[in-house]
Amino acid sequence: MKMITSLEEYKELVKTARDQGCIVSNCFFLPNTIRDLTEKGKLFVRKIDAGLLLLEEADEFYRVRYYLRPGQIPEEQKFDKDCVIELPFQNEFTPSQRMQEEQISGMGFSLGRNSALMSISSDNLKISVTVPFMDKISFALEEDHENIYHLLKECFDPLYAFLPDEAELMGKIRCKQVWILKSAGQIAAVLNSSMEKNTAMISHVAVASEFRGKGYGKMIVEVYHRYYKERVRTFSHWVDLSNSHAINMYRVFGYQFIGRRANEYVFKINS
Amino acid sequence: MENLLDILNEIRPDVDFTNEKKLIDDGILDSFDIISIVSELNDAYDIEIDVEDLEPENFNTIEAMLELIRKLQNEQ
Repeated sequence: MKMITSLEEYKELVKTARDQGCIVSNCFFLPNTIRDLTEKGKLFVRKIDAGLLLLEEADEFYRVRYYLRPGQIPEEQKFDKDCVIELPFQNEFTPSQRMQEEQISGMGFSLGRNSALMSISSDNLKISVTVPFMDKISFALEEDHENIYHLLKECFDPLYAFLPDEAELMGKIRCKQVWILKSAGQIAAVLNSSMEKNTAMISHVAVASEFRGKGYGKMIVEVYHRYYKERVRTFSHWVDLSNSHAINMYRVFGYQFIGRRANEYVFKINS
Repeated sequence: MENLLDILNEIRPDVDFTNEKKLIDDGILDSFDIISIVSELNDAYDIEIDVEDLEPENFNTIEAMLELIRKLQNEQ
């Protein structure tokens, strides 16, 4: 495995791979992303029999992208950290994506999670007249960041969840994109959001284990909706298809599946 | 243009592709969208969008995407 040190080196590697017939890929980094990753020393390449693997280093795992030859099943791979491969698709697999799943499996990965995007326009969003405990829900403060960070890590698997690191979380708190619900002096629930132009997106909703079953997740989502309703045209978020509780909650608000799907395949070093 | 619009609306029905002028720069399209768009355009137009083509200016507007498609078709 070798570190990629520049955008130019990345382009050369990918061009060579593609010229050698490795045209099947789940990787479409834009230049700014590559520059950012190479400057931080977080992008690596591994040449394999069937093509090229690009490893983006996160804290405790790699996100793996590939350029492979169509139809060629790679050898089983070994890594020094857990890894995840994301394969986005629309509604159902195309034949090419079905083949990619076989190639991913050949490398030693197995399906970890099925996700789908739910979405709703602001106009159609159902808002409750009142929200219980609304006075307990507020924007997070900088002093809350450590507790929020630990709650997110407790509730989500970092392989799937795109958890913010501490610096990113602090930035989001400063931008008023993180809400907390406090109960008995503790942070009982957190909602981490993002907004891009006309779309608000929930990145994470987490409820501490000792506070579950009280509807805190729904309450904090309601407050998020109320805040953004006049500010955006669309609300979206990715949901784990095995999380029927969350899906039912979002359906009550009017969210619908819009066809965007993603499978995440994992390689765990201790499995 | 209509065919391209149909493809894009299939991928992101919540985006106003006709009027948005900074689909990448404003973060409206994310990396998942790019993967989906590139795959669909490669199949629909029988082109090969290469790493060199993955510049924001080629995907910021529907007009730019159409221009990219035409360029790649002419190169074949």
